[in-house]
Amino acid sequence: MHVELVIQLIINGLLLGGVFALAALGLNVIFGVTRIVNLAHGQIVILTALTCAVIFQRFGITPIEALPGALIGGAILGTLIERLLLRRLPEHAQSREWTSLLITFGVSYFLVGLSLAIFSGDFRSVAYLTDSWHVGGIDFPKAQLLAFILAILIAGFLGILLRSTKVGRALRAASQNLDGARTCGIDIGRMRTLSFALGCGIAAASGALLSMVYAYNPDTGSQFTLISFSVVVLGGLGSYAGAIVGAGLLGLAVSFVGFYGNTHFGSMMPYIVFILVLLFRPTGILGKPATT
Amino acid sequence: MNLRILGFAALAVLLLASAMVPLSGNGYILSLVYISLLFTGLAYGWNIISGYAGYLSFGQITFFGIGAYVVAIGTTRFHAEWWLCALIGGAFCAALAVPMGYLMLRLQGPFFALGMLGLAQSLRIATDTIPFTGGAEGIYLPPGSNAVHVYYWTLGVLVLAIVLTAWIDRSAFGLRLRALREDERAAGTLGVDTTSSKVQAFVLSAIIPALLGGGYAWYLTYVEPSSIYSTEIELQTVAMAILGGMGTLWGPLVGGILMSQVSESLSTRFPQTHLMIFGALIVILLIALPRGIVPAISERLNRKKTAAKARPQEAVT
Amino acid sequence: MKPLRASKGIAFLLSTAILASFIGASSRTAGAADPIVIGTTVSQSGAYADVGKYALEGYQLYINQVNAKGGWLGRQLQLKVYDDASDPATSVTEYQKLVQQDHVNLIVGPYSSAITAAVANIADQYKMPMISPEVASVAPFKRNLKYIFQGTATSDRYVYGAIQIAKQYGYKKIALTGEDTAFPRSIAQAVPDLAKAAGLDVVFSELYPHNASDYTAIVQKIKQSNPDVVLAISYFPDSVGIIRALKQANVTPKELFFTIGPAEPNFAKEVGADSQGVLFASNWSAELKTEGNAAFAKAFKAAFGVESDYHSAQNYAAMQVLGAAIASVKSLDNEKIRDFMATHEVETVCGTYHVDASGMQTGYDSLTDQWQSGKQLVVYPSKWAQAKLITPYSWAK
Repeated sequence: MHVELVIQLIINGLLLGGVFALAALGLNVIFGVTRIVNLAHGQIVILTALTCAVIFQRFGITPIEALPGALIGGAILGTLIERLLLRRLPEHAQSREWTSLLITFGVSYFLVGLSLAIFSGDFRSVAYLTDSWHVGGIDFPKAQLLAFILAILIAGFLGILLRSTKVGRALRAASQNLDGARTCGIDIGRMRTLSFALGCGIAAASGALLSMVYAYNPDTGSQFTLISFSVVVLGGLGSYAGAIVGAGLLGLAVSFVGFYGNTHFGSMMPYIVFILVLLFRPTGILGKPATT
Repeated sequence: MNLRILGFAALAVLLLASAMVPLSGNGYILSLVYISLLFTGLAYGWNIISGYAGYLSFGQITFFGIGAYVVAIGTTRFHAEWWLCALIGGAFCAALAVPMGYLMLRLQGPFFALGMLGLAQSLRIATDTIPFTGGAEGIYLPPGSNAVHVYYWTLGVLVLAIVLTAWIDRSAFGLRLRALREDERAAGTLGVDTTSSKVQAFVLSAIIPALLGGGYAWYLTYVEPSSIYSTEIELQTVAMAILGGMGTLWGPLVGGILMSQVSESLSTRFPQTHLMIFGALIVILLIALPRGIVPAISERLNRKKTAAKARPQEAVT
Repeated sequence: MKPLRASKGIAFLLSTAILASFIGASSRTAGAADPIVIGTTVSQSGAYADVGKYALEGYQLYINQVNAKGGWLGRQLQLKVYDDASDPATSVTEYQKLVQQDHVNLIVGPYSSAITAAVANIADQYKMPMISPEVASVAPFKRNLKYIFQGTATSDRYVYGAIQIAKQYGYKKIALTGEDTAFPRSIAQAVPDLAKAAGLDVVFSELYPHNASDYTAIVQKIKQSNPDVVLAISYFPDSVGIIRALKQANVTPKELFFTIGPAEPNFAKEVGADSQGVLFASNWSAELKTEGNAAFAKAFKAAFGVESDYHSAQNYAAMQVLGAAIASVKSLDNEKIRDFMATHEVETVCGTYHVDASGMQTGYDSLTDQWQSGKQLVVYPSKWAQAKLITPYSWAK
């Protein structure tokens, strides 16, 4: 009996990790290449989730079916943010990273306002795939399982992209050494745009799937951004496998601490783990240093 | 020389005018200017560790919150005077900032920024849980119209913050901070004790929000974790300081006053869409003036000056 | 030193500009047959934005109806609303503006304990009575302020019906959870005594924090306690989170009760078929046989195209109380209005309004509703019941 419970806690933890990882991968791509924390990240997730809820209720289109649309929509949004806004900053401005960060902060404000105007303050959710598969006494929630699988697929895709394709290698070069990459003829601007397109596209895709897991309203975006960043740091900068592993561990921590302790401590886990990792193992699990 | 005296005179006029606001008897203007003073003060506090030392923090709300809670607990449980509690809150945060600074300031860039944010969030959840802090129900302070007292307190703290910043701006300490902001390793090799300098900056940056938070609790007469440890307040503070001009003496003043006024009038005039407009405004300002308003204006004035100096010589040749 | 000199000049220019803007604050002069202006803030953005919309609609309907009939004291009513962004300090500033700048004649109250606690000082300062239609916790009224009045049933009544139902059907074991914030906590605290009086056992009791990222752990604990009844004192997003987690973990309580979340009219739409049979607390229902209620419900649907929920009804009722006060004292004298609201009973769409000496509501009661086929129907108490209770609860296929 007790073994079954522990297995269930492990499954719940891993699947929660899948949700975290999915939410974090988009942020990781952008941060890895441009060193900019996209503060609008959470809001993009929410905006997509809200849109999926409305089109599901009005037209019966499921979030799975909406997934490609979400990816493309997010990619377009990311491209717009990078080319219209961030591009206008002078190349070697002293506080370029910080100003970019603040610009994404302004964008997130804007998106919150936009979400409120379109969707009002109501909470929305998609009532699809709300149950579990029951296998041998263990419950596997369907929506979370899908999120988990998608997270692994995306991480795998990103891994292959970066290691084996020309574009991917260019992205990696741009993230490691800006001037060196430029000397090799890599178009840094295009790399930045690509990372934003990818990052926001993935964020939107995660929003589509997550619409089935919780209920959201325009105000709930900011907590996503922080948890996502915690996962990025935990897994190690620039490592997508690390993000998956880190998210999984975080999910397990929340699940076990929430059960054997209480939910308050469980909810604090992402923040506590985040700080501990930053202080005592800045490279994260599989990545490169956080301190210079 | 004239311009400097003029500038200080202008500041004195501004402060005098602010001091007279409560005498008008208009509660609305009092509240409005109070909010401006509060955020300007917070921006000054933030400016020390983030602007001068270059360690941008998204978690200064931590000290604001602690200051508020010290006043809440002190006035209800120990029946002490609120301003005394606020001072104790300031001292407590100064002490707390020392070990915290040593730990957290090892992190760089966005890791420090978001690490501080994570700390603030953890504190919020912890405050939710502990009965001593009233938990999620919060603490009801004795009701009353305390706005005038809190107003003068906040004005006083703001003046303190400006004086402190003016001193930092012209002192060797300030030079050390700027040095480590530009290149910490190089500063170290030149003999600057970077660790102790940045911790000192961190401590100063902790005292100001703590004092302001103490006043805030007395103003609202109610504290609860989500209104006090508010990411809203944090991010608005950061935006104000950056828009005004980080690491400058007048930046937070300009940013604080302008933005709180703009925010208030936007909210009145465009109740449905003010968030969208505010966000768009931030983005546009950042693109147009990436270093902030004050540096942009002073740059232009200096260019005119150097151009003016160059011309007479050309005329001669 | 150069940048320093130049920027001081800027400071000078700016300071004069700002001073000028402060001095330029204008005041309004009153004229004959001016409208009666009622001031309030609602949360149009921020954490409480979902409720703010409903609140505003309740006010607006009342004002439109009264204006069509000639207004109060022969003057038209006008509502002056500001967005408090779900933030207490903003609400304070806006209420100050309403009183000092806009010279409103009357004020009504905002949403949430935090905002009301801060604004109560203003009501006291200007001696303007303020009825708060959306504060159900008891704590704000323990401060013995003279000018605030509670316009909604107190929190401990919210779970009463759920427990009586459990008692009636022999459901013995209760698992209690909820959001660990002021209002749900005050409700949750009432549960142990009510359960004991009804002869039921609370086999599990734990609250979760606001914006929790995971409900599976607490639901596992609920599952382990094997309850007949699950009482979740939760708002909308956490109600959805918990009901999903319960389903996924294969927990099937015989009675499933959430407090506040399912009261919102879009709950069934967002949750889907699993909403069938969910019980919740409400302070109002369209078929309640209270004074003027049928007309109110119909008018609301006609005006806004959706069914009213209890938030709108409470705000409407608050205006009814204010209207009754003015009709009785026949003037806008705030002291007289205050005395009326403190001592009189008023029949509203929510029931009989009556407060005690501290301003706490004693007249209104809570109802227990159930979602049935996409509609919210009262099932308890039998006096007001519109439909038979569907029990036990079961998951949709």
